[in-house]
Amino acid sequence: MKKLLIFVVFFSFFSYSQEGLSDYLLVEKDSASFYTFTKEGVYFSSFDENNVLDYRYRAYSKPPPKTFKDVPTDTFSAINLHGVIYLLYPGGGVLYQYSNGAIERIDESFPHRNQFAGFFFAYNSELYLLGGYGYWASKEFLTKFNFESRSWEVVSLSGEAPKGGINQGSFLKAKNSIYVFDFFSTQPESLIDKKNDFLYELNLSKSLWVKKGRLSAPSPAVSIEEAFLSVRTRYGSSLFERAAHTSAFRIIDPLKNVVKIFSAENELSKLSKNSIFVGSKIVYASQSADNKSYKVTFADINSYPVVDEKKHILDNQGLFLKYIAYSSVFLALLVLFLYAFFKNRDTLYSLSDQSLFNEKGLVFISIEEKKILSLFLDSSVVENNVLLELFSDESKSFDAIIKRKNKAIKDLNDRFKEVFSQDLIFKDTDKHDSRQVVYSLAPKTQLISEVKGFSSS
Amino acid sequence: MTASSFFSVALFLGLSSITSYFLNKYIYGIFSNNKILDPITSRSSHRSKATRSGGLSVFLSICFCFAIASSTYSLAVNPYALLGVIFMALTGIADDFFNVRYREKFFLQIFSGIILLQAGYEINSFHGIFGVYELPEWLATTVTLFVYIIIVNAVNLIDGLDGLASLLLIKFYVVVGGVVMVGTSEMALFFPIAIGALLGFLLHNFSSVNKVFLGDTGSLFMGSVMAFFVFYIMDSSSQIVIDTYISRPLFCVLLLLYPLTDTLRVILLRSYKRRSPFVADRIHLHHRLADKGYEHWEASLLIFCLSISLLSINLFLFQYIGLVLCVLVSLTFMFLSFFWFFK
Repeated sequence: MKKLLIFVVFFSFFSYSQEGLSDYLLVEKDSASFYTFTKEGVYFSSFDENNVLDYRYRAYSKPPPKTFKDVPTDTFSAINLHGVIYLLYPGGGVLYQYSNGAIERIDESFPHRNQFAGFFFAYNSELYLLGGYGYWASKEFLTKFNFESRSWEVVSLSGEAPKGGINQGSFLKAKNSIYVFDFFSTQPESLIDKKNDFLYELNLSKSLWVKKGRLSAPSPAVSIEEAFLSVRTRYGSSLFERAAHTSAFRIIDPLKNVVKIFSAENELSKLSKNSIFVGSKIVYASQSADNKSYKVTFADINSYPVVDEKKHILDNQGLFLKYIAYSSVFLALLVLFLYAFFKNRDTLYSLSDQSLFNEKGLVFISIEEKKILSLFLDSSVVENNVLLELFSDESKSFDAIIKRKNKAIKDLNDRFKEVFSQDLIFKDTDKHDSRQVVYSLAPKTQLISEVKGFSSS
Repeated sequence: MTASSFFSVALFLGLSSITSYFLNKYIYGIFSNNKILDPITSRSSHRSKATRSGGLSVFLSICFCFAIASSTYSLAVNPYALLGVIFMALTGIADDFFNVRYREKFFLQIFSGIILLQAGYEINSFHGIFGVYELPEWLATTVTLFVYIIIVNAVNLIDGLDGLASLLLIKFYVVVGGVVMVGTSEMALFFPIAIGALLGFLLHNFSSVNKVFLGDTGSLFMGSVMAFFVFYIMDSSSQIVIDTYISRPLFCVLLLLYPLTDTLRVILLRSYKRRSPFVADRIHLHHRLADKGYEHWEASLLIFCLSISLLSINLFLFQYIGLVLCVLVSLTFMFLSFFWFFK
């Protein structure tokens, strides 16, 4: 049923009997009318309120220049600037103006053939030609027509221009910028044109190229031949694209970063390369059955169903922000873990023959003190009697031995406190036997013996 | 991030941490038993037994996990990049064992840099800094090699305090991981592997008794990996999400801020005192913190937090105030930090 509806609605093309065209160029006039240039004259066509296409024909008031007649009309690029139509010779250079019913050459240039498939556009009442192909290489330069000298000048640009030039690209002028994408660039080493997957913006007010990002929905036309056959034309502030041999068309809006994909089945399969939009209607010339002539046809694309919508360039900001959140938590946890770990970790002191030290300071020790501290290398708690054994002297009384031990520990603690602001050894009672006295290292303190065999400061 | 990719990241982070932890322990034992210990000199901050086996363990852990990830998942890195960093790791191993002379090391670094360039990533654009965009090929190659030498040696220079180099490397991989992972899935798993390997090492590095240092193997290997990702970010053909938030050159400078500022300061001070900029001493900023009474972990954590803060501030502000003001804010922040903590 749906297909039937689509068939009924979208196959109801309007066509008018501007039949027998063999060579033509469509140029938009305004939102309801357009021109069809031929070798002999111009058709002025317009839609009325009932969407019926009417036209009138006007032959050129004087014969066009010979150079105009020498090349097919549909190979010209055209611009409507303030009601004056400018027609650019294929490849650039020669420029014609249609005014007062006649086509006249207005340049003193020559067909330089450097910018085939370049983008001809108007900006600030000036005419420009961007990119294109010529003499075995794609070009990225911008040329401007100087109305005074009547010749083309290269415009100086800065920024990140597409390396290797722009050939068979999609161009869209929006606001002060030209958006360029789905184009082919010449590889310097092989001179082969390779597809460039990035979107570039040429800011005309700043004369600055900006590389905007990688396309997430590139054109289905992957070869330069397919790109050549693609139909690409401006549709408001978007670009209409229908690649050859596809059943869908796309409306690309680089400003909104959106690509809408529409199903067209086989209905728009006869679009011509120089189709144009007049309002929401795409106007094109459909080839007749005998392949000898065309008739101008149009279709309203407004009511074609959108089958998909994609981002034009990769937009991973949401994913990136999510990642930032996760990684912030990870880093915060790492910092907290390390802080907690070190705050609860034992402070380490190295014991050498003459000193007790760590990164924060050093205390010189006597041989006797070294012996006391050595007992704490293996255990943080040492029994009193083990300590007393160090001071055992048969010539001295037990009281004297105890006093000597106590004094040694006190002296060591005093000197240690001077440097490290805390006592090192504490007197305590044995946890298992409260009658026994033990000595323990200060809480969270650990002694290690200094590494032997290395030079120490 | 999908559930499966989150799972694979967590899996390889865990696998790499465990592998690195046990490899560090095992290789420490081998070094220790064979008396291959780090000598204690007047510049040493450690006074306990320590080996320089961390770099080798980290390198082997990454190789092990990389092999698993590339065969089971879709981890793929350009072979020239792999060749370049492996060459630098081998140079580091040689340096740790035989003390390679500085000039020889310099030429080996250039050679490694040239291999790395074949991977196809280089600093071929300044992305508008000083109004410069695309660079001519000869200049891009020269700048890339110069930056490579700077980064590799800067990482080597900051490896003077427990945890400092590894924490800054973890910060680098966490941030760059996000930038690269979002754009391409090919290299995504490298980051959890590298971070895991450093976490496993960190536990040994912070150990009081059985201390392990990164050594030249670690700093040269990790430095060259860092340099590769800097080239990847700076290469104009790379599509990275960070373009929306910050200028690429500023981002890279912020990522490498600590090693770069410290290296620059050290070189200037040594030159001012008419000493060779390559002769080691204790005038690094992190040595200053240690000499002021900060414990190693405190100093490392402080530098780590300061560098993350500055990066976050720039990421947040860049869209609103632009490049020039961001640079001014960063310089102000750095001066304040210097006078507050380091002076």
